[in-house]
Amino acid sequence: MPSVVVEADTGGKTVFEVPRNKIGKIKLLEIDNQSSSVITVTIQDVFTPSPSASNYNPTPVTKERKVITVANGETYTEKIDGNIEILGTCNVVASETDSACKITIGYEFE
Amino acid sequence: MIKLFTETPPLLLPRQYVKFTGADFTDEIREGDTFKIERTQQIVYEQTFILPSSDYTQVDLNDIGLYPTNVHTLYEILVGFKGGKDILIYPQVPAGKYFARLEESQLFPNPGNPLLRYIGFVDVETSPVDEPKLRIHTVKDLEPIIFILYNDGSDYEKLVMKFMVNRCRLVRVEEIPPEERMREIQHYEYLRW
Repeated sequence: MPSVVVEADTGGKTVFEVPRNKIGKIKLLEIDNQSSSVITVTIQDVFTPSPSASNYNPTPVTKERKVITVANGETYTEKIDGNIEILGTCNVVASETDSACKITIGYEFE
Repeated sequence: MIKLFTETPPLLLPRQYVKFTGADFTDEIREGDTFKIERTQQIVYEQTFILPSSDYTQVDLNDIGLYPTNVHTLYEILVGFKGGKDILIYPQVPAGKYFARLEESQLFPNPGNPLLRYIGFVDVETSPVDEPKLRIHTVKDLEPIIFILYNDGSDYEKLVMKFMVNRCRLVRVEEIPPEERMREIQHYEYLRW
């Protein structure tokens, strides 16, 4: 299972992009917050829907897939049973920018 | 021409014969015309759609290149689906006319109506990508086959449609030798009876 580690960043970090003919599934989420602040991490999915009956010219959509708050000095780990799907680009946005908070995401494409 | 099987059907092979029945397919392929398959080529082709909840789109197989441009070519297409667990797919042929319906006059597919939404659809369970069970035949100038995709879920969903295209070159024959295997390709009006 591939995994990516990013640092907490309020501007967001791209974790992976799902190929057009695949569906991304997040399998593991680990947030090691060794910063001095409580940090909230949001996993976003950014994609552009297909033209549909209600919208012939769709624009990119950002969906929040998971929001976790981790106290300073703590580590949060969750194995996920495939119920967080990513359709487009997986971004991680944090409430603080701090290199002492590391976010690990394990994922698969199906 | 459009058929949902209980198991993945076999592909046509070179030297097999086909007979078009039920009605005239096009000006070139009339009811009763028979052909020998001279050669085949298999092409995998995928298309992806992302739909919001309670919304739909329509996919014209001609628009996405799933009709031959040569009158002597038959496309035999196995269609499998991946993802989009709540997306319902309704074949129409020609446009606006649902392929599968029950005999009761009020029981025709209508994705916009919660009572009629669950009639005559296929989905990822009925034709999964690893075991496709929906088979379609197309020839040049055949009337359009349309898939209506409706997202019956509560969130955006992504559906991958995988087409295994068996491209068959046809050679017209007057009759099929009695000892040879032949597949009947039935016109949609015959299948819809």
